[in-house]
Amino acid sequence: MAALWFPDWPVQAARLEKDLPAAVAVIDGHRVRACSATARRTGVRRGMRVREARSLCPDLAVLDDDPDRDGRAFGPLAAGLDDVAASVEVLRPGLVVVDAGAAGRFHGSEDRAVELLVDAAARRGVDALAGVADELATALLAARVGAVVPAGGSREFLAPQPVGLLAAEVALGCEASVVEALTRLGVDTLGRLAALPVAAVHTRFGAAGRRCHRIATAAPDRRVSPALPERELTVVYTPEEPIERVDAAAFAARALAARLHARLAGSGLSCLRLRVLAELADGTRLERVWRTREALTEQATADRVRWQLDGWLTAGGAGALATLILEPVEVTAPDHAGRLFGDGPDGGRRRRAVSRVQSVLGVGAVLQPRLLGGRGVAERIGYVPYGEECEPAGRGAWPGRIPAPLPARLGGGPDHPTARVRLLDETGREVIVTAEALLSSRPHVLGWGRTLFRVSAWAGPWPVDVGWWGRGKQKVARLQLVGQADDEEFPRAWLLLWSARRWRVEATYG
Amino acid sequence: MDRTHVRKAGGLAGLSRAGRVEALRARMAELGDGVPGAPRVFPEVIPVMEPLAGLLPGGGLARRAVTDLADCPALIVELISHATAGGGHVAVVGWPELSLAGVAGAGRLENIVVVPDPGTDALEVVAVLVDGLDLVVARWPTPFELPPTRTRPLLGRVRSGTAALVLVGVRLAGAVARIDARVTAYRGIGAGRGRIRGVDVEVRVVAAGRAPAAATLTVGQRPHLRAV
Repeated sequence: MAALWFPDWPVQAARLEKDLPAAVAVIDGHRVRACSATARRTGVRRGMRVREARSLCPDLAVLDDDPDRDGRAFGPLAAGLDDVAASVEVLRPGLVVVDAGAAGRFHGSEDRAVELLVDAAARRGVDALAGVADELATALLAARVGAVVPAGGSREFLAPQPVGLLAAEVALGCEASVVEALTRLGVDTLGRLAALPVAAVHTRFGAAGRRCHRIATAAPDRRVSPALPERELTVVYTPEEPIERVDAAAFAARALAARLHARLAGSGLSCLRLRVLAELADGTRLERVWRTREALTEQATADRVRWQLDGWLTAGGAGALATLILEPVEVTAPDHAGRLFGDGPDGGRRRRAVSRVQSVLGVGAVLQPRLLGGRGVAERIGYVPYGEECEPAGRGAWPGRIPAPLPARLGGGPDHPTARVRLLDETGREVIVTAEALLSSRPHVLGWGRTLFRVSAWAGPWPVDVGWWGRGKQKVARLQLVGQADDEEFPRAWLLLWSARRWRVEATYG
Repeated sequence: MDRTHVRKAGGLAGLSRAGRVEALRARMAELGDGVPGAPRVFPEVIPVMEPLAGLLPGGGLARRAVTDLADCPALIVELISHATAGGGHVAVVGWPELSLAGVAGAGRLENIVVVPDPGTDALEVVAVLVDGLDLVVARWPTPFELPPTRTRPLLGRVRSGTAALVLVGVRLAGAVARIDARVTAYRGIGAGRGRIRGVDVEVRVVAAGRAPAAATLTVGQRPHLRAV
């Protein structure tokens, strides 16, 4: 196992990006996280406060800690190492572990492999030290001194090393408090730590102590585990010219869906939720998340994209399509897709039937209801296209909402001619809702269309006065009314809405 | 003729109601478990509420058959609510004025598919949906009589599908049951006091092979006496 250590990597990464003087320190929350060799010579140490460091070294250049910069600068270096050895693991930016045995067998000898590694990681102005040992932790410690530990000679190598080294390297995973306690107790070298009985160390310091003991005794460690290549599943299509027409966009979407389908099939996955993102030339983004269970066919995806763009165009938008992105948000192994929701074989049949209707009528014609909440009846249910994912509506309390049983036949909207009614009392005057939310007189007759209904019972009015604090002002009152026409056998009941000084039918019972 | 098959005369016809329930239970036990944790049940009827269940053959709306229903939204919403609460999936075709708010309490809204505007060929949409869902409710705004040329293909699709088809506002010659419903009384409301707590619906069922029967069911709170 070979470890490649880039000392003070945050400083080196900063130096790669811009010119810096000789004494540099990288600060993280007023404490020094890394400093250059020049600064260290003047006495600056890691963990020291900035003021103290500046007092020791007046012309110290101070930079903020930027893990992104460290990672960005290290990426190309680590990529170069892949050419030399197969299993390369990046423990953190600035520390790389390689399986030297395999690389050594390939290149001839381990020394040659380590030489090639150091060459591959060499850049102008970048320092690197290499260490080779049997175990991972020993290799990390060997890298700090640039030693090659012979096979089986780990314990001899480790014996004279100071215990403080364990805390110096974050990737070893030793707790600083344990190391400090060990030093205070007089255990100052790893050899002394290894001589202690492991049970005593474990009892006194717990799991952290055991870890330190294992490193000191060169206990066998884990092997190098390189990162597995992740297959990128998102597909992006950027046409040379922004697409102006919806059907051309739908055609492009179909080809894109075929690519996505192929990638999913290649990874052996099926998509549960799909995000369709359309970016227009002026920067507007249209985004929708669809829930799907079977792999979408190209036609179905193209339909959904077309519907998404159509809906936006009819709402008054305009623009040319610059980029189309299909991103699987949630994927799973295919045989779990059905069982996860307990669908069984019927679920597939049902979904196929619904998607056939969707393909005939359009995605916007097949809907599913969702509870929105509200006091009246018409506003309680909203519709979204079937298969679209929607966040569950917040469960509000809605005090004063119309209780069950609810009228099931909606009245047709405020401008519908059959929705308007007239409510009169015995003297023929209109019955209105006063400012105190009371009826002005007892209702006697309801006129709906051409029929007159004699009022036999009513309840209400129940006022709703909301939204006066903002935009959506709503000041209405609701009334339940039971009436019977002379030529009908049974009474009828309505839920009337008083709004804008007029009565209209919100919904009919029965 | 495509997609026709001979349906097994499953031996339910000659039994009494209790015997039928026993036979169905035995069949359910036979079918066994398809999905872990959820026994797979495929009953021959969609269960309905009690006074109506006693009037319908089989105790509910027959699958793979057509039932005519009168235009009574209160009853329809109760039926949908009951069907979805039992785990079934319902489609409502061609009824944009139906408010499903009443389903939200006892039923499950996520099991419902709504097609408010089925376009010009609504029968085709219905025929596609009966193969996959459990209950399909279809309504035409103006009541009309379906000619036999359209009836036979529709009945064929219904028989080979899985759903119970309920037609509202259409009279079909091949329907196994015809349910007339009208609201007779509103309970709990007085002249300026109370509120509507229950709606009485009188249902009258004419089913093949049975005498016409009627019953009254209450949507909402049943009337009860209370000592004051």
